[in-house]
Amino acid sequence: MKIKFKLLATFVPILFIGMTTTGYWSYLTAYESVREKEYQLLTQTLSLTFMELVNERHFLLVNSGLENVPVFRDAYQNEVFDELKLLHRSTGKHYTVTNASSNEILFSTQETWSRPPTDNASIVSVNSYKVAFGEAELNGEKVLFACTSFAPWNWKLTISQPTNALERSLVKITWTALLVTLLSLILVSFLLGRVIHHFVLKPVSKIKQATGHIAEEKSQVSISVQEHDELGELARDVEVMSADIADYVTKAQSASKAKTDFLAVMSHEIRTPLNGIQGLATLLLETPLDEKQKQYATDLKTSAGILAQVINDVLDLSKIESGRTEMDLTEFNPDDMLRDLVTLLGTNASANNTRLEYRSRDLGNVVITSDITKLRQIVINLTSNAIKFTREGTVTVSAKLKGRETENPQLVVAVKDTGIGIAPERLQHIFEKFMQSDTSISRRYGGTGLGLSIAKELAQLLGGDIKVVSREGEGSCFTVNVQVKVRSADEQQQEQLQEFDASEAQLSSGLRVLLAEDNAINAVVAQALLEQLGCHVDTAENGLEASIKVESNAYDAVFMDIHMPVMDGVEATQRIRAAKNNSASVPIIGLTAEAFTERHQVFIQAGMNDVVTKPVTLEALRKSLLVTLH
Amino acid sequence: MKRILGALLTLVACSFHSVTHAEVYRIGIVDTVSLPIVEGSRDAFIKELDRIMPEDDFEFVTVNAEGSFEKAAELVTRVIANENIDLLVTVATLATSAAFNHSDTGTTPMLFMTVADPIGEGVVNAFEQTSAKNITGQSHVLAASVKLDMLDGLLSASDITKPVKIALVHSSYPSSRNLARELLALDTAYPNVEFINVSTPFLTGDNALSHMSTDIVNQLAERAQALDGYWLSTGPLSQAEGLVEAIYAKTSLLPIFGENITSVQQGALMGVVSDAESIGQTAANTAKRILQGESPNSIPVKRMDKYTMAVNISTAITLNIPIPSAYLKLAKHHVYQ
Repeated sequence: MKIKFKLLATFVPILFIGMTTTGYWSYLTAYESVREKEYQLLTQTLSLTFMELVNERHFLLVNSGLENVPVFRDAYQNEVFDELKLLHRSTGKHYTVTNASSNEILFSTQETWSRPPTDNASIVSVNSYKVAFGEAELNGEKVLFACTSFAPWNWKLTISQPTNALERSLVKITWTALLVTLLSLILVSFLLGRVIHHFVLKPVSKIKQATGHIAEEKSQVSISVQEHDELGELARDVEVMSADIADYVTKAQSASKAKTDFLAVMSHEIRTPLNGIQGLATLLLETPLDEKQKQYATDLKTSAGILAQVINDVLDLSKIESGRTEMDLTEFNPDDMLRDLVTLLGTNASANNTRLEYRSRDLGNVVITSDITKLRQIVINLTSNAIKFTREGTVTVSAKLKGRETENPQLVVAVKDTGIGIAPERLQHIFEKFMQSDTSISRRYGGTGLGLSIAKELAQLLGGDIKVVSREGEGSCFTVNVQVKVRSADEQQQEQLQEFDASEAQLSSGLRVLLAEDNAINAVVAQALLEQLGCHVDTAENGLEASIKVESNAYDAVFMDIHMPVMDGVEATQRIRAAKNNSASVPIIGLTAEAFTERHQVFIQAGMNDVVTKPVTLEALRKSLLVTLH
Repeated sequence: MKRILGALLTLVACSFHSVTHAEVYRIGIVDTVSLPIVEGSRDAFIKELDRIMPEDDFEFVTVNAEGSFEKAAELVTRVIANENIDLLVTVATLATSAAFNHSDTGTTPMLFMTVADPIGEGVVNAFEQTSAKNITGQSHVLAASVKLDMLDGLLSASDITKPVKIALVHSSYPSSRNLARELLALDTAYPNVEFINVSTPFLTGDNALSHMSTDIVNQLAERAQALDGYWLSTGPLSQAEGLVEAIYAKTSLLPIFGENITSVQQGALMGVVSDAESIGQTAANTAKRILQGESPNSIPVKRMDKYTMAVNISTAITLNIPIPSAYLKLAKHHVYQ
C-alpha cells in the first residue's frame, strides 16, 4: 500500500473521530443551551408576564382599598383570565390557574388539564418568585412546564408548552451539527491531504525516484527538495549516499574488471599447458602403446578433461555473474540436438549400469531458435548429474514444445532419474553454488557443485527456469523450460538449400599454413592436428617471425597465437594487414586460451578472420579453415 | 487690555439692547362667569405666561361677564376700544362667542380657552382648522364619542345585563346643549347606554345656578325610578355647588360621568377632563406665539392633548360596576372615594 493511502487510512479515521467528537460535544452544548433557553423563557414568561398580570391588579386593588371588594376582585381576576387567553393566542403557550388548596381549576387555556408533577422539578427564583419547572408527559403529550404560587389569591399558576418546538430545534441542531461536522471533515481532510502531499509525499516521492535511480544506475543523484526539515536533510543524505554508492560502484566495477582480467589471464595460463596435456595425450594414444601405457595415457587424458571441465565451469559462472555472457542464437532441430546428447552421454550411463532413454513429442519436424550451446550445457549438466547419482537405474530425457501457437512458445526438457533423490530439507539449496545435497556426495560422486547452479543461471538467461521435484531414495525430476522461437523444419530446409553448408564441404588437401605459436607443446599439438587435416605446416615462434614469413611466403592461412614474445598475435596481424602486397589479405585465424567473446571481437577488429579457442580440436580447426577459406 | 475693553463694551451694549427691547404687553381677559374652572384656568394662564416670557412685562385687564352674553359683548367692545391691548383672551363659551361676533376682530388678536365646543359656536368648521377671524384657541373637553367609548369600556367590564339608563342633564348654555346633542346622537351606537334627556334653561344673574339646580333635582326626582344614574353635561351647571349632593339626597342617583374633577370628587363614577392648570398653560403657550408675531388665524383650533382621568370607587361599589384596572391605573392620583 502506498504511503499516501496509509496516511489517508490513518488520518481520515482520526479526523473522523476528532470531528465527530467535537461535533457531538457541540451538539450536546447546543442541545443543553436550547433547553436552558426554553426553560428560561418559560420561567420568565411565568414570572415577568403571567405573574405581573396578577400582581399589578392585586397591587391596584390593595392601593385603592378594593382588595376585599368581591366585584372588583372578581373583575380583576377575570381581566387576568382574558389577558391569558390573548397571551395563549399570541405565544401558543398554555396558562392554567388553580386553587392552591383544592387544586380546583379556575382557568385554563386547555380543555383538559392535568397537574404536572412538581416533586422532581427544578426550582429557581425569578423576580422574587419561586418557580418550579421541568418536563412531563401530560395528557399523552410531552410538555415543558413552570409553575408558581400567588398567595394573596391562593392561586397556583402554571404555564406549559409542548416540546414540539424544542424538539424541532433540536432536530435542526442535530442536522446542522452533522452537516457542519461532515463538511469540516471533508474540508480538513482535503487541506490535510494537500499539506501532507506538499510537505511529505512530494519530497518522499522525489527521494523515492532518486533512490530508484540509484538502485538502477548506481550513479550520483540530485534531489530538488529545498526544505530545511527532516525530509530535506534526508534528501541531502541520500545525495551524499548516492555519491558514495557511485564511488563504490566504480571501485567495485574496477575490482570486478580486475577479477575478470585475472580470470582471463588465469584461464589462458591454465588452458595453455592443459591444452598441451590434452593434445599430447591424444597424440600419445595414437602411437603404438602397450596396454598399460595406453591405460596411463587414457587416464591422463581423462584427468585433463575433468580439469578442463572444472575450469570451464568456473569460467562460465564467472561470466554469468559478471553479466558478460552473450547470447548466440542459432536455429537448430532440438530433437537432433537432444538425441546426439543422449547418444554422447550414453557411454557414461552405461558405465553406471544405467539406461539412458530419450523421448520427445512433436519435435521431429520443427526447428527452434535459441542459444544451442547454453541449452546443450544445461541438458548436459542435468543429465550428467542424473547419471552420476543413478546406479543401475534409468535416466529419461523427455522434451516437448509448450505453447507453440502462442507468442511465447517454450521448449520443456525433463530429466528424470531413479537415483538417490534429494532430501526435502536440501532440495531448496541445490541450485546454490558449490552446494550438493550432502557434503559426502562430493567426496563420493565428485564434481564442483556448480553444475546445477550454472544450469539454472543459463535457463534464466534463456528466459526460463528449472524446477525440481524429488523424493529421497526414489529419484528426481528436473524440468527446464526456455523460451524459443519455433518454425517448421520444411521452412528451414528451403532456406538452407540456398546456403552453403560448411559442415558438408570438404577441405582441400595440401593447404600451406603458417602456425605461429610460442609454446612448444601447443605448437606440436596444433601442428599434428593440422597435418591430420592434410595441411603442410610451417611454424614461427613469435609474431614478428610470423609476419616476416607471411611477407616472403604464400600461405593459404595463418594460425596466430595471441600471446607471444617479441610481437604478439594482434600486432603481427595488424602488421600483415598493413603490408602493401598480396600477403596483406592472407586469412589469419587466431589461437587463444581466452574464453571471453568480447576479447575475440578485439582480435577480429585487429584483422583476424576467425578465432579458435584452446584447447584446439581437430573439428574446430577444420571448421575454421572451411569458413575462412570459403 | 484691548480684549477686556472689548468685552466690557459688548456687555454694556447687550444690556442696553435688552433694556431698550423689553416689551410691556397689555392683555385683556374676559371671564364668562365666576366659576372655579374659569378662574382657575385664567390664573394658570397668567402665571404660565409670566414664566415662559420672563423678559417681558404684562399688564392684564380682567373683566367678568357674570354669565351674560350681552355683558360679555359689551365688555369685549370696551376692552378693545379703550384698553389698547395687544391680545384679548376670552375664558369660557359666552365671552368667546361675544368676542368672535365682535365687529373689530380684524385688528385685535384673540385667544380663547375653556370652551367646550368651538365648532358649535362657529369659530371653526372643524378641529385642526384655522378661523376666518383673528381668533384661535383650544377646546378643553374630549370628543363626545371618546367619552362614550370610555364609559362603554367601563360598563362592558361589569356584569350588566341591560342598558344603563342615564339622565343626560344639561342646560341651554351653548356648550352644555351642544354636548347633550352630540351624546344623544351617538346613543344608538352604544347598547350598554340609554340616555334620557333632562334639561333646564340657562339663567343668568343672582342665584341663577341655584334655580337651575333646583329644576334639575326636581326633574330627576320625578324620574328617579327609571334611572340608574345621570350625566352632568359641561357648562355652568356642572360647576354648581352642592348639586350632586342634592340630587343624591332626593333621588339616590349618582353621576355616571363627570365633566370636571370636582364632579368626580362629588361622586361621578368617572370623568376624563382637563384641569384648569393645563388649560391655562396651554393657552399661555399659544399667547406667546401670538405676542411674538404669529397671527391667530394662522394657528389651527385644536383639542387639548392632555386630559386627566378620575374615578370614584365609592360610586363604583354602590353601582356594582367595577372599574377596569386600566382605568384605575390611568386615574392614578385621581381615585376618589
